[in-house]
Amino acid sequence: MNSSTFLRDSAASESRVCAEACGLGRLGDRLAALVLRVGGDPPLIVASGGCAATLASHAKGEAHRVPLGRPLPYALGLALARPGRDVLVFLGDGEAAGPGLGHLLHAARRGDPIRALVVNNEVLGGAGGFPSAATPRGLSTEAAPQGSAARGVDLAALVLEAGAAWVGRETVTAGAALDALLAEFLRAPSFALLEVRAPCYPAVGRWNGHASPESMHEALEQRAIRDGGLVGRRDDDRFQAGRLWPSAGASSANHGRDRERR
Amino acid sequence: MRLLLGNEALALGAMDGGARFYAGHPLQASAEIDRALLHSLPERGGTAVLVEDEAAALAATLGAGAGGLLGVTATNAAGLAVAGPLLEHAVAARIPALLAVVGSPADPRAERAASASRVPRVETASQRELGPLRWCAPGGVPLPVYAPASAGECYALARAAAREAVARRGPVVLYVDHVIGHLREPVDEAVPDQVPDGAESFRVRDAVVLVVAVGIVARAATSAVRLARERGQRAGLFRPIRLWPFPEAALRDAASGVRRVIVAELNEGQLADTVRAAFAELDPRPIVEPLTGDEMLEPERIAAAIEEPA
Repeated sequence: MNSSTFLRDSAASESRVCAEACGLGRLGDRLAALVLRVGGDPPLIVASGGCAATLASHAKGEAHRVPLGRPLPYALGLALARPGRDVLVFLGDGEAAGPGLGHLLHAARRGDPIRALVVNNEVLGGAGGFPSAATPRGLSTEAAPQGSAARGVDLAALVLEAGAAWVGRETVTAGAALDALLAEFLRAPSFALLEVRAPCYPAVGRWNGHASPESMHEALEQRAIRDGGLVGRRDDDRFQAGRLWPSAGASSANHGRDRERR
Repeated sequence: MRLLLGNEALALGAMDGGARFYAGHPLQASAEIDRALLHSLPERGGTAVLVEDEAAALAATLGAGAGGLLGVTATNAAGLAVAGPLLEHAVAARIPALLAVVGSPADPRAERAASASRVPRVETASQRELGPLRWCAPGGVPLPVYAPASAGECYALARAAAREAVARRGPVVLYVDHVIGHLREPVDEAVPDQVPDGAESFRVRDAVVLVVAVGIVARAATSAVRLARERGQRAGLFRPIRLWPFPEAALRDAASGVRRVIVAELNEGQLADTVRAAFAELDPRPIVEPLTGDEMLEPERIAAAIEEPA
């Protein structure tokens, strides 16, 4: 396999996502480049709809687009039918924290032999800027400029607690730190979850006083905590970034299961 | 020859037809299918998993089908209600799969009573899934839906349906009403392979009254036709084996010379319009009379309807 058999043309893939600088296009290209570096058969990709699913267009490999909410259980069946292949699921926060949340927790609980990448833009961007279940309390969105009244779901914390073998979270602008975490994620024991915060400018940034995508990304970086500790409950809009599980001080021996067990 | 529940026979037929993957979320109505597949599939080199809900079960079944293992799952009316988008996807993506839908008992009180005793009762039978099954993949043409009326037919149709799912690269549905799924009857595994006929006719050649019924009601209607014949009435039975797409041409053949058609089903009347539509171009047209019920239609009641116009 070489780049011409796996990567689509970068400009073409950028054109598949909206041009408002959430960073999804770059994330897709970084991911595709890392998959190439890992070598072997490219992962089988499963996604449904929404912005995150456009990541599937960065790979020429086998991509399954399935009904909303169901990529994870579909991926379980696919992985069990083709045990020699890695299976990678792309989810948005709207799906992962909404109709797919039960599936996500059960995949983590069972140790399903799949890896899930959640692109969390904190909004139902494609649906018109409605708050998602992961929108932090008080954050304004296009369709709810008064601010979301409900607490946002902390996906990484829930999945960690459910028993995932590997959990990480980064911001899309974290550069080398994101690349390192992506590379680790692609080889992580399963079930693995990587949450990437990639805020949406037209549906969120603009409605929270940011004059540019850059200012929105800077504000998100201010919310990231990088002290390497375990996640705990937070009642503000800040979040732990980096590898969250296995944590530096914890043994993964009894937490999560490796895919060989299946 | 083995003595099996309809549900057990269905699971066996699916495996003999080539199903090698099962994902399920067990529900009381279909639990014997789940149990049989969980126990037997691994012994046959297959894979069986329990998942969190009905949608996950069907989604995983489709994922396996896309990955090259024919999958089977079983559910009830509630699972059917969330299956639509996934079945549409299976049609569009050409994924083979076998879906068994086991009918629920008639009303919630009856269901609770049956649940408490774990013994399904004939008097709580229902066929309220007949109509919804027609459009269970709402975006397309009706899926093939087979409705066995005995444990032996559960086996033979499941085996044939598994092969059909692979051959046509799409989902195929088996509909088993609550009673058929829980009748223990002899099952002949040596039954020859054949593409299932769309329908079965019983004593229709000189019939002037025709009963149309599926599943357990067709069993009662067979007795009713015998009763009516003993009383000198020229009655016959038409039983769709392939429920959807409805075997309209076979029905018109069976109804030639018939003056009244009684559509007997355990719901508010979901098949009557389809039967009427099949006769729309005929002149003269037989009169179509729904005979519905929320409790089992006993042979005597069907025989009475044959005797007396509604």
